[in-house]
Amino acid sequence: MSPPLNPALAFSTFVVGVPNQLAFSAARAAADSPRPPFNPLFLVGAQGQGKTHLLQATGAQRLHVDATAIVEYLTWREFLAKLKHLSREHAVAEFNRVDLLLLDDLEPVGNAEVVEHSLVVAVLASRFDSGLQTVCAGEMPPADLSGAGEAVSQFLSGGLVAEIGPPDDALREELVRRRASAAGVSFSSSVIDAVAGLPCDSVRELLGAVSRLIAFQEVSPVPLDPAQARILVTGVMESDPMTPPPQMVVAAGDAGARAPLATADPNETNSGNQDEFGSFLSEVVAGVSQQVDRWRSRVADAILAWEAEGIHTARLHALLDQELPAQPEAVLERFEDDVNRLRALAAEIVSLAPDLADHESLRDPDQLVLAERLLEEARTQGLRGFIPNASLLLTDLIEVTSNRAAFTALREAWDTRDGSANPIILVGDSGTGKTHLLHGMANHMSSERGVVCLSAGRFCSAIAEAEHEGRVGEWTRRFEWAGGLCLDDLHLMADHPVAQSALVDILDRLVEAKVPVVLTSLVPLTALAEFSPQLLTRMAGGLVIDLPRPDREFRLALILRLLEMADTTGMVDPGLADYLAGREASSIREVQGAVKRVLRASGRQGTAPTITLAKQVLESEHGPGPRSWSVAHAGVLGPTVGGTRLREKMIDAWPDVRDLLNETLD
Amino acid sequence: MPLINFSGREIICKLVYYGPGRSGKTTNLQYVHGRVPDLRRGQMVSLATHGDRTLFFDFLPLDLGEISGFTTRFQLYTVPGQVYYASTRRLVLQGADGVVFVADSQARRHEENIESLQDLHDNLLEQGVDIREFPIVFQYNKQDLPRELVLAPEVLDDALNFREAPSFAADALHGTGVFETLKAASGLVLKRLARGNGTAA
Repeated sequence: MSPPLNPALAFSTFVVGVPNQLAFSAARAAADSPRPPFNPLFLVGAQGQGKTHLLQATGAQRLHVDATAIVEYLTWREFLAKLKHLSREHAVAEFNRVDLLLLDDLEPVGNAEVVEHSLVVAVLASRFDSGLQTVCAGEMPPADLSGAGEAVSQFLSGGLVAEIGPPDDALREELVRRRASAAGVSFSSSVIDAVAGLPCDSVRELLGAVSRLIAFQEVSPVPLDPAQARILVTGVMESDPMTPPPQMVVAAGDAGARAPLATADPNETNSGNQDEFGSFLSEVVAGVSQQVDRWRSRVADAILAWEAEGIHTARLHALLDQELPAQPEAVLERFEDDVNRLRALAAEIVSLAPDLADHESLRDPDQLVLAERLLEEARTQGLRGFIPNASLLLTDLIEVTSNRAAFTALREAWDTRDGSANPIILVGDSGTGKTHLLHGMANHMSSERGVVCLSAGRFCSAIAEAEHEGRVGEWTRRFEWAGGLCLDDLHLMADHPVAQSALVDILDRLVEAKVPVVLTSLVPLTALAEFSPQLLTRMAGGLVIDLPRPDREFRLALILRLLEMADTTGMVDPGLADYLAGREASSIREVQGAVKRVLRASGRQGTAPTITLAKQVLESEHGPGPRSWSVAHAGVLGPTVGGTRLREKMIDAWPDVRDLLNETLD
Repeated sequence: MPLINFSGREIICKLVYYGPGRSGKTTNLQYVHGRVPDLRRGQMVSLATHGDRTLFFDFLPLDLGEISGFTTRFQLYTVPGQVYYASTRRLVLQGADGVVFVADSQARRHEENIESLQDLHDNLLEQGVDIREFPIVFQYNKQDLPRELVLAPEVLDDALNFREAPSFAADALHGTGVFETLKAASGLVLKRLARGNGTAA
């Protein structure tokens, strides 16, 4: 593989004039056209006329037109050295994969000792036949390259030979002007004319001379005059004794201030060296200029390296466009940091959501914010539907002595997040407020990362779907980014070993990260016979809180609240509340149902609710009475595929019509 | 001290002339000072006492003006060569970007050259500087003295310059080799400009 092209050698930086117009146009056409217009194209010119510049610019332009093109830049000697180690078939195949072959410094080396001329011709001819462009450059026209072999010489002569002549006045003038402009220095027209008028056949030498002028002009407050410029370029004093030799002048005192042009004091100087200090300063100027501009090549190298890895480098290109950036090193370092961050993001995103691997932002360090958002999206993909019921708030629940432990544990779990009680498992009969507590807790947990709240049934369904797609691991990893997990009706996972295993994985991640986890179960952990020991162990390591059936204190508080909400006079009969609270109830819903029936009856009669009315309504009924909620008997009608089904969640199979009515009216 | 400050558009290079007492360090600075046009040089300063500690060194600031958009300053220091000024030498060496080691070519001062060079190495090491990477130039001064009194530059190179740093024969009194030495030291320092490291701590 050839070394990367020099980004500074582009068509845009090539100064075009009459002497090189043909070569420029031909090279440009060779770079732009998919079908070679002149093949091979041979650029002929003396040293320093810009042949290498045009060759490399041709390569750069081809890559600009077609980023997938294979461009190879080799010197003639490198080309021959490569061929030497290849058989004819391999050589032809090797170079036919190159879309644009650039061969520099063609010279009549005795290559007969190195490689067969016929092999060279075979390779070049095969490329020609395959429609692949070859551009060569050398100091001599192909016809004079007999040392390269007659056949090679003839083949190369068969294409277009474009000569680059020595720069004329106009081209020299433009070269001087462009070079000075690029350096941010302006010369007077007379200086430019004077320099352009000097005999100089080499563009390279001319640019070197202009660099000297620039270096002097940069440290001199007084514009150079033509005579001084000529002396600086040629090193020859003119015969005019009135023309003082140019002196570099620097500031003394205030930083950056320019001192007036001064001539060296003969008394100060050593007779053996007319201007030792000037010579020293000249070297410093050259050294500083070189070092200051070195950042450009470092940035250019970085651009090539990053682009080779598919990273977008717009930020570095913008840096190159600046004349004198504030912190080029810092920009490079920050760019590298951003690329590393981007790679870390990309790795995680791809592990979570492989379909996002080709997202453009993952290759652009300027799109870090977007990539971060993408990661956020990938992390929570599929979990965003699992949100708590917004109407179930902790503040709506009645806190009494019997359930205070649950409230306290939940609040502390969120407030401290120290992981001391994690997970929290709320165990209680149906109707004891587990689900309300769970959703209330999920709503209470405000987190930027979002709280995942779902029933075990939905969890199992999602796992089954992920298992079907072979993405269980990917799905469970997303929980890493949950701000909390609230999982209702854990007992429904009894027949789902895969879901249990996934939950073990999730619990491990969340508990380790001290992310609060709240689970509810209808039955105590000891009754979860179908659960894996791994899951049971992890749950046992948390805090298990029993939620009791509503006791008298709870019932009274709830009844008072319901009566107060219904009463418009603000006068609640304490006797009625006491009576209602004295009635046993197995669930909150049952208490609510009794109060509502009394309120409806009083509404129908147009009177205030009283104990008498309540007794009429409630004691004339032959309700089902307090339910007995044990796992093995009442309340659990029978196992299903999804686990156990609660009586009150099976409206269609409700055994008592009054219960059905109550539930429906609630 | 950063060598090159892109944000401040400033380059400051501190060069320290090191060597045994009376080897000609101050003479070097005086010669440079004498060759710098008035408009371009600061005042050459010699610092005497500070509290109960003796500080003694020469300081010559050279303001080279704006180069490639950077205000460029060179600061030339000498250290006192006498053995008992060890703490001063360490102080002056702090933050140095390069060192000119001025050796006395007289044969009878050879041991002092070696001791001073060892002292320099010790001080640089103490300041966490990698001597192998640090810009250093040797100047063999007083080569104008009769041949029988001085060691040839090659001999001094063998004895002192085992890392093959640039070295120059000099007669600082008359200026021979003074600017050559300064240019070489500046060149080495400037080559390390953009790296921003290697400064003595």
